[in-house]
Parts: sequence; structure tokens; C-alpha cells
Amino acid sequence: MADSIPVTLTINDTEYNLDVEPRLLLVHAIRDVIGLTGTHVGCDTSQCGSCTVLLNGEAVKSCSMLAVQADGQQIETVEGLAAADGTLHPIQQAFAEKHGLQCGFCTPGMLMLSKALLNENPNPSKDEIKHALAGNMCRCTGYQNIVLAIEFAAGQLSR
Amino acid sequence: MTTSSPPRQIGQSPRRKEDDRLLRGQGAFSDDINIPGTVWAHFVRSPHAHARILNIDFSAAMAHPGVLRVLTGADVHPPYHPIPPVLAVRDAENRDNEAGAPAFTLIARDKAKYAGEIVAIVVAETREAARDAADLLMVRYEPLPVANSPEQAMEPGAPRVHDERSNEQVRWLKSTENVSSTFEDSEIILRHDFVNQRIHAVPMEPRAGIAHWDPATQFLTIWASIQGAHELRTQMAEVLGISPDQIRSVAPDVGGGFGAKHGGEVEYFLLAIASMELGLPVKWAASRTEEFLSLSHARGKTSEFEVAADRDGRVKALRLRHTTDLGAFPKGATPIVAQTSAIIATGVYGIREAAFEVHSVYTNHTPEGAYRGYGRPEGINLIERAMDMLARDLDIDPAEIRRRNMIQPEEFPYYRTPGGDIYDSGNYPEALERALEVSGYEGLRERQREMRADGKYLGIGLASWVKTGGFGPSSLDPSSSMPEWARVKVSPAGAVTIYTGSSPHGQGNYTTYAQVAADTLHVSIDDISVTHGDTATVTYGMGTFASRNMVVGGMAVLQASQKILDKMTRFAGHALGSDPDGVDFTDSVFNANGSSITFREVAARINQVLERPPGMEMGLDESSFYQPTHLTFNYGTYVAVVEVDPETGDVDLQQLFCVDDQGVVVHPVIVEGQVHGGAAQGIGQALYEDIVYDENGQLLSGSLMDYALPTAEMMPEFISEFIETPSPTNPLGVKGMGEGPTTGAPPAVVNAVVDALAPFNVRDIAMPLTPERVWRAIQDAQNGDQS
Repeated sequence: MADSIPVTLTINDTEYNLDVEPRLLLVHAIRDVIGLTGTHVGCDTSQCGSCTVLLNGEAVKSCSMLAVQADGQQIETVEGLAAADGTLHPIQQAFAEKHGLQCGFCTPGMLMLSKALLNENPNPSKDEIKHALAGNMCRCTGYQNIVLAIEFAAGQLSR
Repeated sequence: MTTSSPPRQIGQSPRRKEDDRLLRGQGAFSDDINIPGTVWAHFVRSPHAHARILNIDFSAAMAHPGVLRVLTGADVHPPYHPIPPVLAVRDAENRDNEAGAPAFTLIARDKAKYAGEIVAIVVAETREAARDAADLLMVRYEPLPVANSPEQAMEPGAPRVHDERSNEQVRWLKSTENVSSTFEDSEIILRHDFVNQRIHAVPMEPRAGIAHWDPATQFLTIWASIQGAHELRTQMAEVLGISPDQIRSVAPDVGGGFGAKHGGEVEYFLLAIASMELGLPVKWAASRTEEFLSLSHARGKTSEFEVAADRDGRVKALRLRHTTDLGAFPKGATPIVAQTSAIIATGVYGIREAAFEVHSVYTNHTPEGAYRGYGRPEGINLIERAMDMLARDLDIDPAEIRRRNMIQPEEFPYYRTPGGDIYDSGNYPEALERALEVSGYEGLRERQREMRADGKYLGIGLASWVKTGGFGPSSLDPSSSMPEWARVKVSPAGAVTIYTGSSPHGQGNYTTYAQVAADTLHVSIDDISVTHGDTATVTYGMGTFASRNMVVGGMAVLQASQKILDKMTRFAGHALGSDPDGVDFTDSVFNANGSSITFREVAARINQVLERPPGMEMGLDESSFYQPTHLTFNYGTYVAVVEVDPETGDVDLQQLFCVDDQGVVVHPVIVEGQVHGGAAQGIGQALYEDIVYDENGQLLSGSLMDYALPTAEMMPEFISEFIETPSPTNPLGVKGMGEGPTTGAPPAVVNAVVDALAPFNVRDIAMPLTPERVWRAIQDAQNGDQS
């Protein structure tokens, strides 16, 4: 094991100073070191997207980068989505409204992916949404209601 | 008493009560749970499908910093026991099998029986140290010849998975009286061999668990990603040789199960043993590859199928030889699943003669277990594929041949099939006609003709299916009798808490059980909370499996709620100076003799000793068991629409029309979600998913890079409709429905693809219908090589 390396991660506007092994994955820094367990690990091969977070506003799979690579950068996780007063973000509300989740395990990744998608493309077509979801897997819903939720959120956010 | 309800909650689709915390990332899945002092386990697994274990040298691993203990097969001995086979499997019929069923070994000792079987456990202070040290473990193996398919494993002289017994666990025969003569007298006999490929449930949450044995109190707490906390407790007590009263078992938030997480898994018992050995909490979180290697697979069956019919397409008899690949060990009742799988092969049709021959065989593969449908999808697939083949041979439309053969509505309730299933109720022709109408079937056929003229290949596939729900009834053998338990309590402030022994993990029962209680007690579902999945708070429970949550668990909630209402009514009668029979309950108010008392007032005042009638105890806290008498049978007709590109073999599944009857629909939006998700899994089997072993029994499709789990772009548009024939088996009228869509979708999709390729004379393609297989089927058929 190599020596620990100091890193600074800003997660949901809170700064965390950590000493981490160079090999520590960002997702394990978020979950195991910082204790934000809303970000999940669903595979070993970066297919499933359960670990999706925003890095400087862009969706990344936090299982596929090292914590040290995120040093000094801004990270947003599912815990940061709701407003300070606890009001759910319109994307979260849309998933509830359209029954876009069942077991809820993939949901944090889906929400973060949706936020990145809608930042980039505020009015995506169904096909664009499905394409954007290519790296996020759900085994419960068959995706139809997830797509509907993202469409609905897009409508709410553009009002 | 009389009641008139406020607007009924059953049949409405309120927002799910469980969503808020899941949306905030505040779910508590097993890997999210951390307790101070936790140490980590890493399981070392056999790289060979079948091998003698000659020696394990763990000196280097033990010397690794942070390593606390290495356990091997030599350490796991009495008082620890392997998982005993379930009663039904012990009694299963096999004339050649005097050795009985093997126990499910927790850890390999002398030999490993599948690639992925655990041979050692490394426990260390951190996840990383345990894993690093595992790489230092030196295991010497002597590879052995492999039993790599059930057919090969049944041959004389085949390698034995269990040295002490033959590979065939179950050989079961059942037949009606006149099968042979019916075949002899029939004008048309269709014979075809089918393969139902092995697949994997792939719940998105990999298994994880923490076991914490407290030496001071001699008490074990285990958190695990399972479908039933109570069942794990029962098995845990047997395996550890301690009392169930020394165990608290918790199924926290569980990220999907689909049957694969039903029943204890060896890893959880080994975590408990490690914790007992060390006196520390021990945690494990599976990697996805561990899941593919060791979380049970399902479906793997090969079938020789014959039907006898007349020239009008009326099927008179069937014969089925059904062989299943159990893998290396019997998980739960898996060895007898092939029987229930076989007998449903008469499907929704009035076929009166049937002969079944079932073989359940051990191989050096990952053990099979439950997966959404539990054998029924394989049986339905046979008859639904055969119906299409017969239709083509006789030049009858696939809808018409189904129409001619269906069990008629007047044959219900309680239609007995040749295999012994008792279908509770239904209107099978109505589901068919509705599906034809919703899909615009005639128009699709017209479009198909037009497109073919343009060299494009549209396919339309039907599947009419039926699937059991509501396990387990008292009408089957006693070991199948599985009641469910519920407790309902009302606080003095009027808040309602439901405790259920079922263990939902995505099915939405936090909401739907609240709807059931709300209709009885006239309270808002906002005032109802649901507790489940913890043996410390829930007294009894069976868990979530076999489409039973609403049928069995929901009925227990209804019964307990009715007991609460009965007691409140007696109190209200006393308070209002009336017989209980004279009390009316309307909109949460008890009325009698021109005066009234509200639900909340009763909840508060029932605790005042001077207010209660003589003999009535204080409090509102009632529990109930519901024991179903019969299975329920949900059914439907699905229509798949595909376009196939014959140049590339690519299948574009465009739409799946789903008409389902699951009896009374408690929450239409949740039920529709179950249809989407279940059908998506069925589509996965039809088009994409495959567990593949190489010639040495090595799993080739052991990660999500290699196993094609469907993504959003692979999904069609789902169009879901319901018809409702209430089940006569229970007062809620529900049938359960989680597994039906997984049963209906595969044959609908395969029938559609084969239908699209009719101009090429393609007769069958084995699932999954990958572009390569579709393309090859076209080439073979063009070369006159009928598949």
C-alpha cells in the first residue's frame, strides 16, 4: 500500500479534507470515508450507473475514477438535490409523480444523470432520454416511467 | 354494524409512501449500514468448476497487516451445520436416489463443486486488507472432469457432483389416463425440442450483510439483503445450532430480489460464523462478479415437447420431458420447481390429456434458485411457442387457434388442469379479444402484408399465459402451507401502524397495505405507517415471493384491520348505548341512537378504564394470520410487435401490449409498474440475456460487460390494460401479479420474431434472439436446414 495522499473534495457545498490511499475510488471516498451512502455501487465494470454523481456539473460514474482525481473539484450527490428547506428537487418530484422508482437502488444515479442531462438539454425527446440512460441500469421499472419522469421534470423545470 | 365507506382507497393510485427517503438518498440498504468496530470479510472462491482441494496455505495471508482470521472448510464443523434440504425436496420422487438430497454446503472442504464456490474466508480490519490478503492465499487444486449440462450429467459414468450420490435428484412422472391413445388417434402431431436458457435475476443491489454476534448476551444480529428476515432467522438457527430466540434478523431496504434473494445464502451464514468466532461485527458487500458466480441462477431447462391436435387446431393432448439444470446444490425447493413448471404447460387451454416426465439434475454450475416466475415461464413458453407452430402448420391465425382452445369462462371457478393445478377464476377469451383490440391486431396484420411487399419484416407475436400467485395454500401439501401475519395497532392519537411479515423491496406495499387498512378504518393513508423486515418488531413472517404480498400479506392486513374495527365498534356501541349491531360507521364516525363518536375519540377513550365495557381490554392492537386455501392464477394476453432486419438479424421490438387480469387492482400505477418491469425482464430473456459456460464449466457471462442486461434503448413502448375478474379465493379479490409479465413476455416476443421471418421459413430460434442467432436462423432456413 502506498502512502496516503491528502485530497480536498467539495461535496454538496461542504468541503472535506481527507487522507486517502491512491487507489481509493471516488465512490468509496463518498460512501465509506465521508458517509454519504445515497450513492450506490451496483457493478464492478462501470455499466450500471448506480454510482453516478455530478463532477463540476457533469455526470460521472464515481466507481470509475479515483478520489485523488477529484481533488479540488465540486461534487454533487443525491443528498444535495433537495433544497435547503427539504423541498424535493423537481426531478425528485417527477420520479415520485411518475412512479419512476420501485426498489430505489438505482434511483440516486438516475436522478443525478437526469440533472446532468437536463442541464445540457432542457427539452430532450424520448429517444434522447433513452440514449442518455444508456449507462444507467434499472431492473425494476422497464425504464418507461423513468423516461416519463424525466420528460415531466423537463416540463416542470422549463416553466 | 353497517358501514359506508369514504372514497375507497383500493383502486386509487396515491403517491407511494416509500419514495421520499429513497429519492433523498436516505434509503438504508445493507451496505449502507455501519456499526462501530465492524471488520470485513472477503470470500475466496474456487476458480474451478470441479476440483479436489489438496491444500490451503494461508500463512502469507495471515501475515498481511490487518488480517484477523482466515476460515476454511476445516473450521466450519459442528456445532455449525450445512443448510439442510427443504422437506419437499427430501421427499421428492426419484427411484434411483436412495441417498436423499444433499445439504447445501456452506464452504467447500474436500472438493469444490462449481466455479465460485467458497473455499475460504479472510477477515480483516478493512475491506481493502481482506481483499489484498485473499490474493495471498495459496490453494492447491486438482481439477476434475466436469458435469457441464444435465444431459451429460445423466449419462452413465458422468462425473458425480456429489461423490456419494447420482446426479439426478428428481425423476418425476405424471400422466392422465389416455395420453397414448389420444396421440395415436390424432391427425396432427407436433414435436419440438426447446431450450429455456439459464439466466440471472440481477437485482441492482448486490448482496451485502453484517453479522454481529455479541458474546456477552449470546445474541446474533444480522442485516442482510434478503426477501424475508424471518426465514433467514429460522435457517440461521438451524445452521448455527442456536435458538431462533438468540437471533435478530433484519432485511433493511433491499434493492430488488426477484426471487434470487429468497432464502438464506451461504455468505450470510458464514458471516455469522466469522462473527461468532471473532466476537466482532463482520461485514461483506458482494461485487457484481460475485453475484454472477454465486447468487442463484434460474430457468435452465431443456424440453422435448409434443402436442396432439385435430385438423382444426384443437389440441387434445401433450407430452413433455422436462430436464432442469440444478447446478451444484439444491437451493430451497428448486429441485421440484421443474414439476410446477411442467404441469402449467397446458396453459390457458382446455387440454385434457397430458403426460409429464421431469428430471432435475446436479451439474458443476452455480446453483439454481427462484427467479420471477419460478418455473412457470418455462412451461408457458412451450405451449405458447407450440401454438404458433401449430397455427402455421394448419394455416390458422395465431389468435384464432388460441380462441379455439381456451378454457371458457363458464368452466370457472376452480378449473382443474390435467397436471393438478386449480385455476381459480378468469375470462381468458376476454383477455385475448381485448389484447387484439388494444393492439389493433387486424390492422397490424394488414401493415405486415404491406411491409412485406416492400421487403420489410414486421412480426406480431401473441402469448396467452397464466401464472400462479398467493403462495402457499393449505390445499397443497402441508409443507407448502405458508400463511402471512399482520398486526395493526392504533395509537391513542389515532395513528395506525401496520406490521407485516411480508418483506417488500420495491413492490410498493408500504402504500398498498396502507390502502387496505384505510378502506377498513376510514383513515387517511398519511396516518398509516408500515413496519416490516425486522424480527425484533415483526413477530411472524414468511416474506416476499411467489406473487403473495397482496394476496396473503394484504389479506392478513385486512383481517387485522377488521379486528380493530370490530373492537372499536363494540366500544362505540357501549359509549353510544347501543348494541354493536346497531352501530353505523361512516366517514370515520361511529353513529348510533342519534349520537356519534369519532374514530379518534374511540382511539383515545378506549384507554380509559371507566369508559370501556366490562371485560374489554384497553388498547387497539390486533394481529392476524391469513392462511390461503387455494393458489390464485393471474393471466393475460400479450401482443408484441417487432421489425426484423434480415440483413443484420437485428430485432427492433417496438411495442408490447399487455392485457392482464390480476383480480382487483389495488393501485393501478404500481401494478402497471410491475407489468413494465416484469415484461422488461421477460424481454431480457427473449432477446438479450444468457448465462454461458465454457466447456470447462467456467462462467463466461460473469459481469455486466458480458451479460446483456437491458438498458432503456432496448425497451419497447409498453401499453398496459387490465381486466378484473375478482379471485373467489379471498375477500380482497386479488390474485397477485408480479410474475405474470415475466411469463408472458418471452413467448410473445419470440413468436413475433418468428412471425416476422415466416417468409424465410424460420420455424424457431432459441432464446436469446441475438442478431447473430436471428441471422443464422435465416441463413439455415434459406439453405433448407429447418431449425
